[in-house]
Amino acid sequence: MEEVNRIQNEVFTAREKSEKPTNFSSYLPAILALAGAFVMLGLRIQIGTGFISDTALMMLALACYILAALFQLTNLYAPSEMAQKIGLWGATLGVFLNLASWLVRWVNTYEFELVQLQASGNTIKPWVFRYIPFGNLYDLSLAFAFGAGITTLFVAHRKNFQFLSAFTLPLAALILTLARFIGGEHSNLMPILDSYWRPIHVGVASLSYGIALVCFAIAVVYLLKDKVKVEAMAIFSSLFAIAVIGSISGGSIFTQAVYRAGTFMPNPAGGKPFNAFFRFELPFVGWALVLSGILLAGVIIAFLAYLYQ
Amino acid sequence: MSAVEESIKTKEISKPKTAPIGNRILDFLSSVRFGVVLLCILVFLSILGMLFIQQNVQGFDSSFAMRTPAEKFVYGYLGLFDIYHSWYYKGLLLLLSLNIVLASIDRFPSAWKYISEPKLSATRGWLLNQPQNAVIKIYGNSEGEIAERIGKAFEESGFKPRITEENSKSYATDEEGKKDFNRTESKKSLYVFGENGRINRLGAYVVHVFLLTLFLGYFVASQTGFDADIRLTPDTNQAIQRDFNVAQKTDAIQLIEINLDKQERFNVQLPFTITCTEIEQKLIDPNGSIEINNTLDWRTQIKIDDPQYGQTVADVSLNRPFTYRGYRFFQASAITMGSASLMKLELKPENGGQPIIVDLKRNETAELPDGTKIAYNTFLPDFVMQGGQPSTKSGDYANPAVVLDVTKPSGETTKVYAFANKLPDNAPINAPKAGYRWHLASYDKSPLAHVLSIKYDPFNAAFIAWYIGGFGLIGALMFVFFISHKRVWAMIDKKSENEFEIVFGGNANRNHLAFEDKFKTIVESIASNEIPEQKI
Ligand code: HEM
Repeated sequence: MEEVNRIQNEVFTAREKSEKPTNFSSYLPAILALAGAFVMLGLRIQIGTGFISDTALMMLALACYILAALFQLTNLYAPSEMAQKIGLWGATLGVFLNLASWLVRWVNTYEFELVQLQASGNTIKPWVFRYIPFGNLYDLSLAFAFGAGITTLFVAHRKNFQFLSAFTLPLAALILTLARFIGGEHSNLMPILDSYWRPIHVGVASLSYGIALVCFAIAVVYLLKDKVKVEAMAIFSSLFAIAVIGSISGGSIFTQAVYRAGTFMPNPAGGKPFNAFFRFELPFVGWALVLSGILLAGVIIAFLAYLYQ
Repeated sequence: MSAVEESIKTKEISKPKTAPIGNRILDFLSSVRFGVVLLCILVFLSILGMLFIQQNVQGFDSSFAMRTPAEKFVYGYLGLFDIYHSWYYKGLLLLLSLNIVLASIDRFPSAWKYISEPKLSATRGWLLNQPQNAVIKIYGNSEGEIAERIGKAFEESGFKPRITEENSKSYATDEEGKKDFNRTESKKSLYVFGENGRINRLGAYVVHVFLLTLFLGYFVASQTGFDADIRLTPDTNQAIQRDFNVAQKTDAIQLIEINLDKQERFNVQLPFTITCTEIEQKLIDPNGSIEINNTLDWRTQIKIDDPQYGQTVADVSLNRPFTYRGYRFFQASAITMGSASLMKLELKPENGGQPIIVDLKRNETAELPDGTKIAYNTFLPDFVMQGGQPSTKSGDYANPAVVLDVTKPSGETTKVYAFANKLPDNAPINAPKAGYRWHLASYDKSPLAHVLSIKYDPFNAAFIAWYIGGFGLIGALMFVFFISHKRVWAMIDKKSENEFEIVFGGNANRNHLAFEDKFKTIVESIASNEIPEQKI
């Protein structure tokens, strides 16, 4: 728990020792990342489909986030100016690639549908916001991770907050990993989503998710700083996890040890698939979740015993 | 927080046992604690509203059918299927509104004090107790000149300075520097007070005003308006309208009400008649299906006949709703049973000769050069003969055919089927009729009917609630959290002929880190004994 002690005793108090108020150049990483991403967008438009794909850019961003987080973590254990620098610029590179991926995806989605339209002889040219990458969970995850990344960079303009990346970037990396599993295939947009509200609504939502993620990390760090016991936090997190497991699938996990998923049925009369009246039981998942619940209960008991011994 | 920051608190010695009952009720109604409890209950009820599919939401019918009779009865009795319109939900909203008003009135005077009577001076001890404080020594000619200089520095940093002279009282010190609590000394000191963003202290009230706009707007909308669906088809065929429960012309809409465990539908009369004249579906791939994932947009053309205002024709598209006399029409969904709005017929004369191409619109009649009239009857996407009547097997375009009523110049009328699929010439159903062999050469796809959602809001209350209340709330919250009230005080203490001690103290109600930077800049600029250069 050495790093916890360091947070409690040094990192937050470093401010008193910090020399000067911050200035404009401390925002440089954030500015560079944003500007660079738009340059990439310009390049994609100039070069065409031969340009690096958005999914590849996303993987690079993921790698940068992990690398930056690693160095920031190392810096907590063994403070070093170099680790901190690599952490900061790694994060900058990650945010740059993350936003570049999102912007390039915009162009790709546009061309994906335009090809379809033209192939079928349609001469309609829909407006460009129809293709803003806010159409599905993959797009949203990209924007979410970017929100977390750019907030991290803004917060990092105060030197003694740079270590927060050690907490926020692994979370951003987790989101990008989930996005990787969802897959970046393009799909046609639901017609109802072709509205000017979508860029506003989803844009605000995904950025604020990112900000909330950073706030979450800051809150945890403040709890550490105020010497809340890590074991106590683990107990509450486990309780929350048990509540989640207990409430999914209509509460069937702990009562029947089964997990049922909602099912869509193909519509025999044509038309869209409809929501089945029954839920489909997934084999093994129920028991695996029960096991997780038991392990979580074990965590709670063990830490309670430790705290009260 | 109260503006009376330095008031001396006296212990209450005796307290009347009970305040008058009216005051206690008022205190309770205006307490923040009560507000928080109400908010929690409302959040809980709103969560219930999301867990139970509400009666105006798609999918309600099937979810309701799945419930046991006991569930239907209990949940229906509790109003859980329409919770946002239940009396207790609306009652709680009103109570919460009252609570916010009362709480705001209660607290407003103390917030107003920050603006009407700013704290201009303070004791040395109080200043040193502030989150930001500093003591510096500088040289100058007189207190007045130093105060000027500090005021300038404040102004440079965006703080409005005010210079006051105030008697400060403190305990006297004896020769050893110890405080003598028996004697107080009174000394005149010069204070410079600077502040920025004091209006932020009123932010909470702006937030509450917009919040109330939202609540009350919602309340009025739900009291005076309703939501309902109408299923409109341009097809005038009565049988189709009956089979698919769609209408071409209507002057009533159906609302659902749950009465204990029974779903009751009742008609609400509209002050006008709606006629559906055309529906259209713009497809990404015109050769593909009419499913949602191949769709760019839906458009419904309606004609409104209003005894008071005459006739209006309007288009309703997915993201282009149409508003008429407080009724707002939205595209809600489509009945994706295949139909066609424009058909091209190819007619081969029975006795040889060039084929004739005829364009026929749904519901309309075309005339051939020889005087034969072709009237549209029905479009069937998957043609089948059932009990001697033409019908459709499915909604897909598997075997599309159009049923036509053909009237020869002689006045004799025959029913004709024109198929899109090529049929063998000797098939009995493809036999020449009325002098021609009929073929449906092409057609553009269109669903049978569109479902329009009607939102009735006679006072535009929902609009006011969401647009003015909603955007106002966002703006007000930004105003509250991105602006802060920052205050700095400087107390000037003459130490010797031209040596002065200045005690700085400062606080901000938000963004303490940025304030710390600002405070340091100010103190440094004064300590370095130079007035920051005027920017030109
Ligand atoms: C959704 C509901 C509400 C929202 C979004 C909201 C929002 C706010 C905000 C942003 C502030 C300013 C906070 C600050 O200055 O740091 C505030 C202050 C306040 N609110 Fe609310 N509020 C809500 C409901 C209520 C209710 C139900 C009450 C009723 C008792 C209440 C009573 C107060 C009071 C007394 C203050 C402090 C005013 C002051 O310091 O002068 N609020 N509220």
